[in-house]
Amino acid sequence: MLAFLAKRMLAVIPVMAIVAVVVFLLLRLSPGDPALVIAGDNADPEAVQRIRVALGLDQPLVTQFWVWLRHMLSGDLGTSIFSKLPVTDLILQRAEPTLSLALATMVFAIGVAIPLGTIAGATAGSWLDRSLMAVSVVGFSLPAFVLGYCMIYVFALQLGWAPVQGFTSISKGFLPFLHSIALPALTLGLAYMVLIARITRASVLEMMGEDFIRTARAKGVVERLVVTHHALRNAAIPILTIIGIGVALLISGVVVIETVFNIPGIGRLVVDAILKRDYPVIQGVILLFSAVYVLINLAIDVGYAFLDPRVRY
Amino acid sequence: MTLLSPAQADEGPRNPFLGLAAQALRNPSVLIGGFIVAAIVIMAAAAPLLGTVDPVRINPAIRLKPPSDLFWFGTDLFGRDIYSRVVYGARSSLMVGVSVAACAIVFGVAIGLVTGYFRRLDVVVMRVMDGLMAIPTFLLAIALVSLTRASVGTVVAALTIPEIPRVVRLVRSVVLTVREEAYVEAAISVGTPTPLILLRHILPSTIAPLLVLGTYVCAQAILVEAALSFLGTGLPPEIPSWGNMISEGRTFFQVMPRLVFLPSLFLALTVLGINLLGDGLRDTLDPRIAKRM
Amino acid sequence: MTAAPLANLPIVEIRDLAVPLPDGGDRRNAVDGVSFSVAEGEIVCVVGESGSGKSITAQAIMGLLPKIFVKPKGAILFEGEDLLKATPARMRSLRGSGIGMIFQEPMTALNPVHTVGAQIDEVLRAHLTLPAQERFARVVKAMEEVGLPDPERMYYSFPHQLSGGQRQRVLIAAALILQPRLLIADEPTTALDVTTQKQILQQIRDLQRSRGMGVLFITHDIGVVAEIADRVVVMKSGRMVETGSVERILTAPEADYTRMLIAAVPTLEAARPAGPVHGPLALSVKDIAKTYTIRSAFGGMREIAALKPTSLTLHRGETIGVIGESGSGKSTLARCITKLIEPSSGEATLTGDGAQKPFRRRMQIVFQDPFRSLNPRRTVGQSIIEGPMNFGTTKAEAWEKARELMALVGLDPAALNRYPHQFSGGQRQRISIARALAMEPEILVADEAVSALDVSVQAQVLKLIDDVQKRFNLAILFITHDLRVAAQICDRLLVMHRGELVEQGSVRAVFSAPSHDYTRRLLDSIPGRRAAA
Repeated sequence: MLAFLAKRMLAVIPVMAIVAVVVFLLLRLSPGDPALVIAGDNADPEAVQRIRVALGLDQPLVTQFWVWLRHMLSGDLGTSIFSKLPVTDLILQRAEPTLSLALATMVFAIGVAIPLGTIAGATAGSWLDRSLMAVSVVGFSLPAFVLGYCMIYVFALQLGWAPVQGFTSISKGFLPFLHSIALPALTLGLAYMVLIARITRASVLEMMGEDFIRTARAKGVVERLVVTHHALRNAAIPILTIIGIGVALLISGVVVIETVFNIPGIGRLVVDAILKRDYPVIQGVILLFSAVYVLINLAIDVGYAFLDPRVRY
Repeated sequence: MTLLSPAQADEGPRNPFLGLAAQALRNPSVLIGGFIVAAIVIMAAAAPLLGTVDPVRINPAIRLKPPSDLFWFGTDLFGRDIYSRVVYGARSSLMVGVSVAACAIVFGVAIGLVTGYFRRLDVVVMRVMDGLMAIPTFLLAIALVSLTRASVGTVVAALTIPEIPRVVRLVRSVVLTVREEAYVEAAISVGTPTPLILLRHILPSTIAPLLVLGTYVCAQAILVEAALSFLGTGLPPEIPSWGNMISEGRTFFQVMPRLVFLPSLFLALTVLGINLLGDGLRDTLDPRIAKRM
Repeated sequence: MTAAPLANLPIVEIRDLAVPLPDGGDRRNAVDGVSFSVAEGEIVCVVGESGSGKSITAQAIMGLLPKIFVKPKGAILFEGEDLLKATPARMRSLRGSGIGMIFQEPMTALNPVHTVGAQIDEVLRAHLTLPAQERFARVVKAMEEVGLPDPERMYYSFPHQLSGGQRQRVLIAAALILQPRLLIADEPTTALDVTTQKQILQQIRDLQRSRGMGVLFITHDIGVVAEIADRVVVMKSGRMVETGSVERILTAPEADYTRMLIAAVPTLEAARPAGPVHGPLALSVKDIAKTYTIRSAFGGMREIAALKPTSLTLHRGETIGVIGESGSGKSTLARCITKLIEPSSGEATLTGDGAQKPFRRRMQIVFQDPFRSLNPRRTVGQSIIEGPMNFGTTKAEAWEKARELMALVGLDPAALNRYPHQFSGGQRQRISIARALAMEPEILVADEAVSALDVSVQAQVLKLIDDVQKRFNLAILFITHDLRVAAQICDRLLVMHRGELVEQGSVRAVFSAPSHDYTRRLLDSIPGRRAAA
C-alpha cells in the first residue's frame, strides 16, 4: 500500500517537470520575438529591450530556465507587466469566485450524473436511457458560451429569476451567493455532467454483463443492490477517472464562463492578460491550473487503491 | 476424401470492413449526423451561390438592421450582412476542424505506432505526452495563440498540439492490445519483418477507433476555435467565423440577441452533427465499445 | 436403472421446455422439447458440446436467462411449483435459498472488490435477518465445510488472493450456505486444472451425499460424467438425444450422437509403440530457462522463474508431448524454443540437413485459440501465403502451394479468399496448420492446438496432425494440459510442474509406472479414469 502511494506521488514529479519545461519553452521558443509581440507593433526599441530584460530573455536559455525554475518553486510566479503586481497576489485576489464556481459545479454535476448514469446503464434501452443519451449528445455540442447566453436570455432576461451577470461572495450570505452562482454553475456543469453520466452509464452497463452480477443474482440479491453494490461499485474506477480528466473541461469552461457572466475570477484574469499579452500572468495561471489538475488526478489515483483491492499490491 | 467448405458458406468472400460500413449506414445517429454534416459542408462549399454578398463589406449606413428581404438575417454593427457571414463562417469552422483532426491524426499515428511497438522509446515519449496532457487543452491553446500573431495557421497549430497526445495514447493502446494477439505472434513466427507487421497487422486495427476519435477531435477543434475567437484571441477578426461573430455581437446581446444566437445556432448544429456521426460510428465500428451500448 | 431409487421424489421436473431464440438465430429454439427431472439425492449430468443448449436450460431454471431470450414455454416444476409462472420476487427468494448455482469461471464469478466472506454473507443478508456475529459464524462454518483453510482469516481475503480451486469453493459455500434442495453446477470445473477438478468434484459429491440434495451438473466432458453422474441427459442442438442411468449411457448408448461423443473421448491407452523413434535428430534443447524480473517501487527486484533449465531432444517423425497444468511453464518452453520470446539462458539448436535454411522456415507453431490466431481482416489465403512470400516465394507460387495445402488439410481450396469469421473453430485450426505447413518446416510446435475444440472436432484435428506428420516426416512438440489427448498422438511425454521438468519417458512407461509424485497425482485426477479403463 505504502509502496503504491509512494510510486504514484513520485510519478507526479516528471509530469510536473515536463509541464514546467513546456510552459517555459512556449515563451522562449515561440516564433518571432515574444518581447516584440508583448510590446505591441508600435513600441519603441527601448521598451522592447526593457521587456526582454524583465523576462530575462537576454540570458542563455539554460540559465534562464534555472533562474525561472527557482522562482517558480519558491512560489514566485513573476510580476505582471502591466499592473506591476506579483502574479501570485493577482491570482489569490481572484481565487474565491473561481473556486466557488468550480466547487458548486462539481457538486451539482457529480450529484446528478452518477445516479442518472447508473439508472440508464442498469436499464439500457429504456426511454430514460435513450433520452439521457440524446440529451448528452446535445450537451456535448453546445459551446459553454452559447449555453451561457441562452441561460441568461431565458432565466435572467425573460424570467428574471437570476441576475444577468456578476458574482456575490459567500460572505454576503449563502442565498445571495447561490443566486449568483446558479446559472454559471449550471452552464459550466452541463458538459461535465454529461461526460460523467455517459461514462457511468457505459461502465455500469459493462459491469452488468460480468459474471459476478450473475452470481449475485443467483444468490437471490435484490436487483437494486445488484446494481449499486456490485455494478456501480466496480464501475467506480472509470467514473473517478473521468471525474479527474473532466476537471480539464471545467478549467477551460471557467475561462469562458467567467467572461460570459462577468465574474471577476482567475478566468477573467487570464483572458484580460491574453488580450494585453501579459505573459507572466498567463504563464502563472497555466502553471497553477496544470498543478491543480495533476494534483486532483493524483488524489484520484490514490483513491483507486481504496476502491479496488487489486491495485494495492 | 471430401473437402469441407467454410461453415458459413452463404455469400462468398466478404470483407468484414464492408459489412461494418453497411451496418454503419443503417445506424440512425450516423444517418442524422451525416445528413447535418453533409448539409453544412455543401453550404460551405457553395457559399457564393447561396444568395450571399461579400461577408466582409462594411457599410456603416446600414448598421444593426432587422431581417428583411435584402438582409435575411439582418446586419451587424458594421453593417455587414449576417446571413452571408453565417454561411461563409461554415468555411472557417470546417477548415479549422478538419485540418486539426487530420494533423493530429497524422502526427499521433506516427508517434503512437512507433512508441507502442518499441518499448524503450515508449517510456520517454509517454512521459512527455503525460506532461502535455496535464496542461488543460484550452489553456495550452490559449498560450500558443497568445504568443504568436493571430492567423489561421497558428490557430490550427495551437489546436493540434494539445490533441496529439490523445491520438498517441489511443494508437498506443491499440498497438499494445493487438501486439498480444495470437495472429501477430503467428506473423512473427512466419518471419514477417517488424515494419510489415506494424503496417499489415496492427495499423488496420487503428482505423476504426481513429475515425471515431477524428470526429471528436474535429468537433472539439471547432468548439475551441469558436471559444478562442469569442475571447478575442482566435482567428483574425477580419475572417468571418462564428466565434468572431458571437464575440462582436455580445456587447449588443441584451438589445439584439440574434447577433449571438444566429451564429451560435449554426455552430451548435455543426458540432452536434459531427458528434452524432462520431457516436454512431463508434457504436458500429468499434466492437469493444459497441458491446457496451 | 439402479442409481435413482423410485422412492425419491423429483425436486425439479422440467416438462417440454422450449426457449425461443431471438429472430435471426440459426434455429427457432435454443432449447426445444426438453423434459427431465432431478430427484433428491441424485446427480443428473446434462452433457453436450457447445451450442447444445445445456447452459440455457440451467439458466431457465434459475430464471436468469439473458434478456435477449423471450419467455420460455413448457413447465419447470420445483417441488410442485411452476417456476415459469412465478413472480420475479418469488424467483429471487428461491435463488440462493431453494436453488443454489455455481458457474464455470471462478475467476470472474466473484466480485473483485469485496472480500470473499462478505460475498458469502450476502446470501444470508438477502434471505434472513440475523445479527452480524451469527452471520459471521455461519459463513465461517460454511467455508470450513467446503474445505477452505483457516476460514476466519480467509473471510477477509479478496478473490484475487485465492487460487482458482479456492474461489470455486467459495462459490460453492455461498451456493450451499442456506441448504438449498437443488444445486445447479454449470461446468464448474472446466476452467480448473485436472488435479483441482478432481478435488472439487469430490467435494460436490460429498456435500450432495451428506445433505441428500439434488444436483444438476452441466458438462461437456464425458470423463466428468463418468466420475460424478447418477443419471445422464445427452443434448445436441437444443434437443434431448437420450437419457438414462450413467452405466447404461456409457456402456450401451442408443443414439449415434452419444456413441460418437463417447468414442471421441481419447482413452488413456498409448496409441503409439513404446520404442524410440529412429529419425534423424531435429532439435536439441540445452538448459533453456526463462526468468522474469519484477521491479518494485523502491528499486527492489524479484525474480520469477517461469521455466527452470530444461533440456530435450526431438527427432524427425517423433512427437513429444509436454504435459502440465497452468503455470507449469509448458507454454514458456514452447515460446522460448520457437524464439517468440528470448530465453534467459540456454539454447535451442536445430540440427539436421536443413542448416542453410532460415530458422522460421524450419520451425513453425500452431496456437491454441483458433479465433484469434488468424487476422480477421485478411483472407485465409493472405494469411497462408504471408510466410513463404516473406522468404522470396512469388505470389503465384505461394498461392498454388496454398491451394494444395488447403486440400491437404481437408478444406475446399476455393475458400482461400474467404475471411476467418466464415469458418468454424475446427476449420480455422486446419487453416492454422496449413499456414504452418506452407513454410515446409521440419519441426512443428502445437501449443494447446486442440484444447479449445469440442471433442468430436478435436479427434478430427488430432488425426490431421497425425497424417501430416507421417507425410512430411515432421518432428512435433505437442504442448497440452490433457493427458488423454497426449496419449493419442505422442511417442514420449515430458511432465512439467512449476516451471520444472519432473518426469519423462515413453507414454506407456509414464502411464504404467509414473516415477514422480506429481505425475501420479495428475494421472489419478483424470476424470472418468475408471470408466475408460
